[in-house]
Amino acid sequence: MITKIAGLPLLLFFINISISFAQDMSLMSLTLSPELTKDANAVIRESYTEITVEAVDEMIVKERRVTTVLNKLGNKHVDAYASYDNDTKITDLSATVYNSLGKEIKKYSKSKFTDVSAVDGGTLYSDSRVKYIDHTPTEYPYTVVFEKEYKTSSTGFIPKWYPLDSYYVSVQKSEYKIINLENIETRIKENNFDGYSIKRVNEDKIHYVAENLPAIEYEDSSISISEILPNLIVALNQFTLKGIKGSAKNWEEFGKWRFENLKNGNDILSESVKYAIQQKVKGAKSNIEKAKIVYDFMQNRTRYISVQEGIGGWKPIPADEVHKMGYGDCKGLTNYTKALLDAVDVKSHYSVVWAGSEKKNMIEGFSSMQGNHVILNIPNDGNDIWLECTSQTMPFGFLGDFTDDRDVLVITPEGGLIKRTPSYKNETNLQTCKASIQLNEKGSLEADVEITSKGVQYDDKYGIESLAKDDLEKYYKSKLWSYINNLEIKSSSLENDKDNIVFKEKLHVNVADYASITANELIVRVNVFNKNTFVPKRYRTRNHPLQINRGYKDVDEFTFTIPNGYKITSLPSKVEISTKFGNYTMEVKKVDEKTISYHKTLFIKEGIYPKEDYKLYRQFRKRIAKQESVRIALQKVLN
Amino acid sequence: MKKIKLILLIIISSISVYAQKNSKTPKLGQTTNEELSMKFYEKDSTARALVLEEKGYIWVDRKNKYDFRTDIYKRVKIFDKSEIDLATIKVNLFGEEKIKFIKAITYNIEDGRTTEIHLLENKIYKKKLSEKWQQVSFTLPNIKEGSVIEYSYSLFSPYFKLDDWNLQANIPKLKSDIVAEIPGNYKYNLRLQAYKTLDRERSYVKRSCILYPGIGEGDCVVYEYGMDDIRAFIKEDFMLSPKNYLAKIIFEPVSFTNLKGVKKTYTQTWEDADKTLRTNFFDGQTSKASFFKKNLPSEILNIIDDKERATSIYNFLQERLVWNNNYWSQNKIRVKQVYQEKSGGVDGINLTLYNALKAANIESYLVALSTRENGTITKLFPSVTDFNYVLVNVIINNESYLLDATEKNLTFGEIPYRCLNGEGRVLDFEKESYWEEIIPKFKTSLRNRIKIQFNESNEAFADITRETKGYYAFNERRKLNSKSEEKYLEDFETKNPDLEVEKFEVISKKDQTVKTSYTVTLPEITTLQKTIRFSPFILDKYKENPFKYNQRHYPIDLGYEWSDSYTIFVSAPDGYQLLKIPLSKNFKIPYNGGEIIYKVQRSGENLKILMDIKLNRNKYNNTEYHNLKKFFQEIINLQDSFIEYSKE
Repeated sequence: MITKIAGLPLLLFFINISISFAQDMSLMSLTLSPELTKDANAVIRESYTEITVEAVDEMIVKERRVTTVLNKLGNKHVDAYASYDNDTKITDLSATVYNSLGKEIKKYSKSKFTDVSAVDGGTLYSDSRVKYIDHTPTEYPYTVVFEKEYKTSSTGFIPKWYPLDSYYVSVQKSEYKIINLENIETRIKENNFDGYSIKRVNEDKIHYVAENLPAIEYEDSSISISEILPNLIVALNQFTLKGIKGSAKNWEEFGKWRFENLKNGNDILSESVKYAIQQKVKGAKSNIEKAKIVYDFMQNRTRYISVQEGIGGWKPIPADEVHKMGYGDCKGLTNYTKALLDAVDVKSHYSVVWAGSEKKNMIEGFSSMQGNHVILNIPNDGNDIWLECTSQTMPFGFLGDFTDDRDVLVITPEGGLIKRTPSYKNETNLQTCKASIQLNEKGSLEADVEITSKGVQYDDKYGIESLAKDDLEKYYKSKLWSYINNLEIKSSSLENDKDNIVFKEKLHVNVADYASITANELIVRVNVFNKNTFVPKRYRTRNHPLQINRGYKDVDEFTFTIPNGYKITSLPSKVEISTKFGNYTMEVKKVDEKTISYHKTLFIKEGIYPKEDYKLYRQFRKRIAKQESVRIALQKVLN
Repeated sequence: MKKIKLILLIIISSISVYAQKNSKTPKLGQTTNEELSMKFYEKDSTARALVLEEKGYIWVDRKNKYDFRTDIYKRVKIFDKSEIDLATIKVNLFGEEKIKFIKAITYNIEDGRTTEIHLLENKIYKKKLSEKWQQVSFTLPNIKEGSVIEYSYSLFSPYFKLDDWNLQANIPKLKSDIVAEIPGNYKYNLRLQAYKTLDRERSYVKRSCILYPGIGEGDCVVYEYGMDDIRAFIKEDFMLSPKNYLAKIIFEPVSFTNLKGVKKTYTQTWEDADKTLRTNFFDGQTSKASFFKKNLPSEILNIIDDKERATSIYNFLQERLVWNNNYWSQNKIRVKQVYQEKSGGVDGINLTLYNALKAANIESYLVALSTRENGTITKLFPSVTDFNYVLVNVIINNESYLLDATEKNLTFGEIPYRCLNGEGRVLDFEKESYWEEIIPKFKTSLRNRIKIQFNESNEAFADITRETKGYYAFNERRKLNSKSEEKYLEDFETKNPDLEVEKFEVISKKDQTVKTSYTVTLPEITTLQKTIRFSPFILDKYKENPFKYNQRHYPIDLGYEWSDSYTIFVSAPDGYQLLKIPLSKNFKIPYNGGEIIYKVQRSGENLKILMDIKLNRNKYNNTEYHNLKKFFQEIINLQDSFIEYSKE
């Protein structure tokens, strides 16, 4: 038994001994400090990463990770997997599972790992694969010792060091070391180290140790975890990427390398294609107008299909091929659009970005392989225009929340530079909902509704244009207005004004039995068409600051015509709530004997607020939620 | 709405003789100008794509190791960009299956001319998905609105099992045809499941259709089936598996005689099926009681009372074994290994339970079934491959219980929701096996007692006791067991943002009934105003009607029946008078479908509200859809109505 665990860290050995003395024991409390088990589903007992750069095109990465899983939710943190592709070879792989007593219960050698294609459904083909263990834990806690070693020629990606890599995991010890055999010039960047016990072991070398990092608990509306986790990034000034050599010490050089090596020759179009597009833009008065025609042409001609193989993961497929096949991935489509723009003498630049609704920057001042998407930049005399080339439907110059408001790398023939994409902030994201509503004496209503959406609210909406008729009905009944029971859509029309980036929905609807009828009253909820009753989760103790990721504004204007036989008596008084998170106003007015108007504005401001403010924000939303359900009573006229 | 003929059956038996060669699906190039200029599909103008023609031809290919070869041809019109994905074709291949002869063309009208572009061979991708599965994929070039795509390929399979031919899909089809040319030494039952009859249907003997070298020629039976104008299949909420309704032709293997004359017979009767289940599917693991006699804790085996002993075994294994989320896998099962390694699939775990119960002399039977998403079993045709789940049926003092040890939060006699899918086959290896409806033994119910009062600081508060049974209790147990109390309450308050929990207690959760109690404050209801209005349903209130549409094609299947009951007391705040109260009301769904009783009793300024809601059946006909919709609407209206107090 002892020999079996010889390879384990001392701590487990210690557990083993202590067990023989105490049969009933809360094991973890004996060995793991409460600081480490607090909020943790798993504890990384030991993590060791050793990267040996043998040469500019050879790197060996050794990893050893000992994870104690405390409960079911911690299983995913074992991370016993290894990715590989044509360029990365796994040389060593094993995982051993120990029970809480330190006894080996299962061993997985390399051949026992499950081997699958590491491709999501959206990709037609990719050579990347993954090996992982398919282990069903039967008791907790348990410990997995995972070891892997792989060899790759792509030194463009030096694995980053994230001693803490997700929520609900704590770290006892994590070590990271780079052995640079040829002394290739290296740059490093330490991020968010403050407040953590992280030491650089040797100032001359890249060798770090982190100890006793407590787990972080997830909370709604917090700053993205990737922005707060301590991490180290490393880049070589001389590197190789899937067989292509490169050298760069800053974004300028990096951009130049990428420009020259990752697309040379691939942005050439045949003369006939050039001629065709030149014909199409004839008569266009400005570069913008030309670019619009090109973008429209590209959108109609292509679709997004992803094929990632070897350098194809980094280099766009030739523009001519995209033209012929009518498809490509983000690189291929962006490069194709650029080639078309070149043909009509409009300058544009291929640009690399971190895409996703969570805003993430390319790190200014630290060049390395970063980003997961490309878009196209048109300099336009300092008034930059940005094009998303993977969408067949997005308006010209619109990015939406996928790539807005972040630093991106613009690759020009002169070199790379960091630029910021435009942002859609606060009031820009405006939705106006207007409705004229007829109530009848049975409590049913009939209404004409018009919803206008701009900014990111446009982005959230315009997709419904491509829904089939029954799916559109489903969208209104089960999603947008799921709270309105008995809703019937009598007619609907959608207007997508791509030039002004405004989306308009016009509907004629009726709702049977909307109001409730009592002996002498008709009771009506006044916010019929844009009820926002969102209340953030209650935390008994809030640990992290509050982040409102995106601001927006909603304006609702409804008029009600009341049925014959009823009169307007008392109406709710005006409500105005003003906080640092935004404002809310609601006013119900009698226009004449038969008409009531409802006017509401809800404005939420993006921002980061101290954790103490969370409670106030929740209160604010609660007060709004209450007002959003306000009812009025119409009195029956007694004869 | 036309009534759906659920399953039409055709039984065709084959004749044993021998066969010849060559026969294909249409060559590419069938696209017409009319199809290219077609703007929409007349019979369904909402369709965004349409299968113009589809043909499958199954035959035995002498030039390819006498494997089964299926030639596939398909032509599809794309009306709308949103169906562009139809131009990407992915074919999954099992084991030694192969795909060959892939050809594809996209047709467009560009600048008034018809253009065609062919798929290039180097744009066909092949990847290994897992040990047994491969995927071949390709996408057609130059797809636009209005494109017609046409493709064909051939599948080769050494396996006896033939894939179902799906006549229906989520887009409509103009024409779908299948031809199967089956040599006489193979025998299949063919079965049609469809909402309408076939338009083409023929079977005949084709002489000398295949040549076996050194043996001679053989005849084939040729089956030809086709259907036109097949509507798109649209999935609805609360339905059993779409597999039960999609129109298709199923090939059920019966027997195979090899060239030496040795005949392998597949299932023909349910008695055969029972045997196959025992030997092949349970892998001979149905008589391992002696192992468990030795290995189960003796203190459990020594319990005298049968029910108590069975319950202890169930609880012991439920605690010990961890389900790996696999169903009946048809892999090797070793109950000893499952027991020792403490994990397994549904088959391994419930076979372990079965053997352990046998070891404890409890009358036990295995029950084979198919889960909800796997589709219902067709009893008319004996088949073992449709089963994907197994339960244990025990009889104690003439009382029958179904058991499943895969889920930790079930109590003795409860089974998972996924098993509620009609009948299961109770396997009696000594006497005769039989079918039995799988129904939950315990009723699912919710019972709330709510007492609303006002305190000195003008705030409303409430004492609540909440009791759940059946599936409600299972969910509740799961929540209570997987979370800390703090997390549980945070979720509770998120779901009920108007409540803040002051006191919370779990009174019981181990029994069939889960009982919890709460003291909550209702900060929004205060006596600071002159008029207080609120809905007394402060918890478990129905807000959204689950039934929102005007039409229903398929039956509604909820799995189980349930009932909710509320008893609410409201004590008036000091100095306030009860001004408005809701009216009592009753509502019923015809044919004992369901009932609402809503009773409001006033005593002075205080109020007592009783509400009973019962859904008495687990299945409703599509014609009853409107009654259900109305039923939920009534519940919502009644629970939404408010009471009003006013100070003089």
